[in-house]
Amino acid sequence: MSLNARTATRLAGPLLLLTAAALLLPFGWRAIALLVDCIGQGNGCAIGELTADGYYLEAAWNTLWLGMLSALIGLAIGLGAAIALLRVPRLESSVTLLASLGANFSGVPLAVALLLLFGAQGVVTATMQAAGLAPWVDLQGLDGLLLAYVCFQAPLATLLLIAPVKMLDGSLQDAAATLGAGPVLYWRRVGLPLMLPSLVEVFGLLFANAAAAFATPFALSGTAAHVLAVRIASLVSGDILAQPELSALLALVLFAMLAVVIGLTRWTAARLRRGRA
Amino acid sequence: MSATSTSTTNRPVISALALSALLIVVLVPMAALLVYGLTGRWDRHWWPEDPTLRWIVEAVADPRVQGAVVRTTLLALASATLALVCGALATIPAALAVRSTTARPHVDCSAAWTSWRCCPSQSRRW
Repeated sequence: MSLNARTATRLAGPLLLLTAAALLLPFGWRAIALLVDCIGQGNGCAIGELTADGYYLEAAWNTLWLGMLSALIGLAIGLGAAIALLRVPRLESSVTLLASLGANFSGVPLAVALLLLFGAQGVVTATMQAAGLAPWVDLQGLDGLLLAYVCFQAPLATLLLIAPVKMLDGSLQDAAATLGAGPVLYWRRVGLPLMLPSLVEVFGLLFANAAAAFATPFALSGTAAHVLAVRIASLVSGDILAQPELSALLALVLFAMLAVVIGLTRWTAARLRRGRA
Repeated sequence: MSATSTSTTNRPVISALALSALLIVVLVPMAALLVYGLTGRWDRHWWPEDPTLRWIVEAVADPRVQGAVVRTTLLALASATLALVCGALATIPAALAVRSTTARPHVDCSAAWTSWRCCPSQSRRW
């Protein structure tokens, strides 16, 4: 069966239409409205409010580093697990099933589970307090958010990395072993450089997954969770007053952050692949 | 020599640790919910107390829970179907189109020296 490019583009229409209607149109429209507002009002507009104090910029910074750190930790666990599955292939189907469950087990169920374990009345907290030890994680703080994010980032990274790890040519490892290189040397000098484009791309996806996460931080800390997604929602349906303009601006900041990181990772991966070819 | 042998033994340990970490972050939250759902309380000691099926029976019998389960399932199925159809329409024809354009020169243009009309794009490049 063969198709020409025009037919293929036409068939991609529904997805392009959906993307445009759900993403580009509202963001473009809000961006123009904000710019018009700011040109008309000067300093009193949403951009002025965003930069007036560090509160919202701090939320953006928290989102950035939580996204990056959880993506890196998830990547490390996922890569290690994918390599381990090469050695024990009989575990692959069950681990893949569990990873699929874990990657989607985010939001409220995950937050409830973590609260049962590490919350103020949680079983781990109570046990540690009974033993005279201080609780090692504050679920309402950023370290609690990091723990929660890793719980769904690591399985997602595993799912995304199993295929690239399996695609590595096994004869390369045999050749390296023949030349006296152990597994660590093989992975450092051969395996990881070959996997680097995939790792960079998966990092981008994991970052986007963490940066846009709303249900998990909201279920853990409510509106006190100081990350962009929660700030955006709290400004629309806030406890005190709604500020839809500022909320739209924060959504644009999040959109720009995701676009830059995903674009940068894809560009880097493409360059790495071109350099290797 | 010693460095090589150390690295050989270290690597499976590192990947096994990563696999264990993965299983912990996936299984522990799920197991915690399951244990909490099957017991009366689990906040005084590290072990759960009063095993019971009460919560599960109550949830299954509650019409609001039943409605929520049905609604969630329908929404998940509908969105998954829509995403699958849109994604498949956007990717499979594109892949077929790319394959047909990249495959054509190898198939058709082998005889292009004698009949250049069979592959105009290639003949333009020549």
